[in-house]
Amino acid sequence: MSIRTLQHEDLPAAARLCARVEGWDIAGREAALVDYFADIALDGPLADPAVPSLVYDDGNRGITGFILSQSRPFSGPDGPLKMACSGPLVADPDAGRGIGALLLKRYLAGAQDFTVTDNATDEVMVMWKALGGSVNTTASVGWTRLLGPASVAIGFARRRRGVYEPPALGLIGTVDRVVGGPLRPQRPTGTIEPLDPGTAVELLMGMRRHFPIRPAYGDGQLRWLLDRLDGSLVRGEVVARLVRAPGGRALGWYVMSAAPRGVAQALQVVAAPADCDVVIDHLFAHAAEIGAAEVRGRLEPHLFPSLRERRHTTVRTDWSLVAARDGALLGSILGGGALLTRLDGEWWMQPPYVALPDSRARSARS
Amino acid sequence: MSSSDPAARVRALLREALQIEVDRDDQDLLEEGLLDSLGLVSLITELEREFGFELALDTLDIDDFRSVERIVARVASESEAAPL
Repeated sequence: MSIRTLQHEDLPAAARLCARVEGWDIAGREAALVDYFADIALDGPLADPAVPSLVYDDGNRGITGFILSQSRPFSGPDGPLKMACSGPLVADPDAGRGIGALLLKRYLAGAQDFTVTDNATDEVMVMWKALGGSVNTTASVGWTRLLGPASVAIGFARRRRGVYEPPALGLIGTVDRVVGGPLRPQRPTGTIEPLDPGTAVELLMGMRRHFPIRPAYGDGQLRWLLDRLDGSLVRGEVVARLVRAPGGRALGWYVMSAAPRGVAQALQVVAAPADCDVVIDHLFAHAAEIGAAEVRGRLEPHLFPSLRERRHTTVRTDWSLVAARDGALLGSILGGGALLTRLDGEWWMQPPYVALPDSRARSARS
Repeated sequence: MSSSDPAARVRALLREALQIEVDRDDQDLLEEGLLDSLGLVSLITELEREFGFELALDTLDIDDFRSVERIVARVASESEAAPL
């Protein structure tokens, strides 16, 4: 019995374990889940042998737990940093308690400079803190900006009945247009265009003063992330837009998923503090054009001044956690010196097949 | 904890840090639900503090924390590198 690095040959057992623990029926879908895990944790450009995914290998039972891992190159005040992003942590409840805790302890002691996760349950949060990690308090607060009050109300009632598809258009849309008028976002200045990952990387390089600790995506990494969102549990259309000022200067960008009468999820909003107002206005206006009932995201220090002027309210969300052995680095991250978004976390990193009718649908999309 | 008997030190640690009273040294703490995931993390932290070692991460085995006698055996093996 030991904790060791995840290998390709472990993936079928890991997929079956995940399905069993989560209560998913993967008949006919196991291969799709295996492919997804392989892309996330072994073959994709954000899989990193220096910060590997781990399995708990019980000699007799086989794989009884695993933790998926990705890494991100970051730029820091004193040079490059390696961020580890803890993905799904799965342990077989029939194999006894504590396997998840051992996996997490081993993972946090890896070669990375700091570790994050943002989809944590209360139990993981308590374990994380006991292992020396910290809560990223600001990012553990969710925000929402209402766009269509009738759609939100009906959607909430439907979710309580276990119906997750957006309500049908018709009377609801009419009510939203009439009652929701005051909530419609202001028309922003400037223009938007599809986000070119290379442009985003260049913009990030110029944001050192605003974000001393920021992603330094390498070749193809941001593009892979944007493409990968299509295969995740993220619902609706994934849009990534660069925002330019009226004179053409690139201000920043946003990445969101949005569906008519559904919840638009802000996955990444990047701009210098002085430009956040315009970028967020474009985000809200774009979500409204798509017909989203509300926009949700997590609170990030650079967004807060703009959000507080734009009728946002806070909502419950999962724990966002961070760990670093270097106290100064940890202090800087928790103090708002790092650009950390959902795109560089676990939030979107959910197995795709539960959102699809079967594995054939996934093949057809890819 | 002043006892030089490792088993006594582990029992005292379980009692004082985790409020776990064990009846026998072979009592299965995991099977009987006395030790959950958080308790295990706390136990490891306390063992490292009490016995002055850092657990070898490449040989983490859940069974090593299943009972007082297994914990004592694990402590002994760790202490070969760093004597108690």
